[in-house]
Amino acid sequence: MLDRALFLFAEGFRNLIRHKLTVFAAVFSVFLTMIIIGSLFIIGKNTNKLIYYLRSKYKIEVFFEADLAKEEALEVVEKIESLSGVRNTTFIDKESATKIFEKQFGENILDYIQRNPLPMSCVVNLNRTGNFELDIMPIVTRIKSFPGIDNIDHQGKLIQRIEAFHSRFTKIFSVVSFGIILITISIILNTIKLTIYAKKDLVEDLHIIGATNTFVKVPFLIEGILQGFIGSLIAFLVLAVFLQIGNNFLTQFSTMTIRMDPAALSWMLFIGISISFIGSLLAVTRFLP
Amino acid sequence: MIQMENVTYSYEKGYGVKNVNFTIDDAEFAFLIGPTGSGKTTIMKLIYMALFPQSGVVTTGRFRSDKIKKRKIPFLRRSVGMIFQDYHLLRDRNLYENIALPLYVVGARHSEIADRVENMIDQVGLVGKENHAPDELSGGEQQRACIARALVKDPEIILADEPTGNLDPITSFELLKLLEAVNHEGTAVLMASHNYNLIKGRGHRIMEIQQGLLRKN
Repeated sequence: MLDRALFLFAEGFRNLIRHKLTVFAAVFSVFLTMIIIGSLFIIGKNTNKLIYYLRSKYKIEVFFEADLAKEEALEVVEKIESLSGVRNTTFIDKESATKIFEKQFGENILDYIQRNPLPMSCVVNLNRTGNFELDIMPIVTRIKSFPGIDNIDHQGKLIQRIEAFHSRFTKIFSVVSFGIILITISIILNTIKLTIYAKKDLVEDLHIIGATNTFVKVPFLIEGILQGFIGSLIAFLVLAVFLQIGNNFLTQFSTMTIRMDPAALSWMLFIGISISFIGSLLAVTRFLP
Repeated sequence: MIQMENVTYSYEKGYGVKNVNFTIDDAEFAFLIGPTGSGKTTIMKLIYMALFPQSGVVTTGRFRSDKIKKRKIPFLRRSVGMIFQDYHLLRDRNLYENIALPLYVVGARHSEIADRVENMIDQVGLVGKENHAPDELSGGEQQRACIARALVKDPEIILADEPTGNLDPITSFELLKLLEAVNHEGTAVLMASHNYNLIKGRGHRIMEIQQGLLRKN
């Protein structure tokens, strides 16, 4: 049994050497596919990080009406804090506002104006984590409906744009990857089909001498799996080298680096081998009698 | 044992065989003679069940054409050794690998395969040619390699379809003697040929087929 398994594996391996041209076409297809998918995935992962960072910086600033009492303002702050999507709030009374002004501009505003013109305000921090779009407009609308609110500053439009861009990128990434995978499966299917035609005599002879269908098919499947393995491995190595070169270049003028998922090799091999296996399986099912 | 009972098979473009009846016992040697296109190859294919009769029943060993399941056909073929006029040796592997292939198919152990293949190469007189590709062998050598490949799995039946068709008279005669030696060991042999001079006077049963009809048995 083990000898037969070794024989079948060796046959699949030998097929790689015997059909160099078709094997090259298949390996190159997997390589290109994995380069594209790998690149998109790396871009996606790094964009995600940027999005999470931006989400963590989102905040709403609420300014209260000038004649509102501090107790009333604190009641409104309590209501804001209980809203869904709000993580916490920081209340800034008139005195604190003066200190912030002094810190920012280096001068005390009360030295120039007799009464304090700065309004009470509240910084609303939003929930930061989660792989979901952040839509702050419902929160802003709710806050606007509370009494004593004079003005609300927020980055709603910018946030919406960034989130929309991210969402569009994710959709395009999925569609492009799916399309490329289908094309590669079709290329693998055709290369294995060519191999099957090239080995028509072998297939016929194997059937004549009593080989089961499994015995005939397994070497073609192994050939496909090996093509997927080689193509994905080369793609991973090329991406890793390019990433290293790119990061060396980036670090010259930025602290930002592009990172590769530590599990990238595993999932690239998994996707590459799966694509090749599906292509080979379709070919042997359709073209072997 | 091979048995054909009222077997008919016709191709879309012409006749195959009509109402054929014969039995070949265990360890019997029989010739099937007839001109090209008379139905010899069709009979061979019916025996190893590459074709199935449209009427009648073919029995090969313990397998019947009317009862066999598709997945059992490989097991039938493991008990039959096939020899062809055009050898059917695989060009991309050497003599040793060609002969060893049926043993990998039946799941023999590697050490056993080496012993049996070497023994078989010795029996057919091809020692020293193990690493030769089929194209590096003469026609007679290729046919002997083909016999070795058919015999290596210890078949109950040998089907030889025009095995001497591409060989000169002397090599053909040597090959026939080799098949007779195999038969003496207890393997049934059915050999198709259109060369009457080669097979006459050998003391074996001769069946004559013409236009798909078995004339003499």
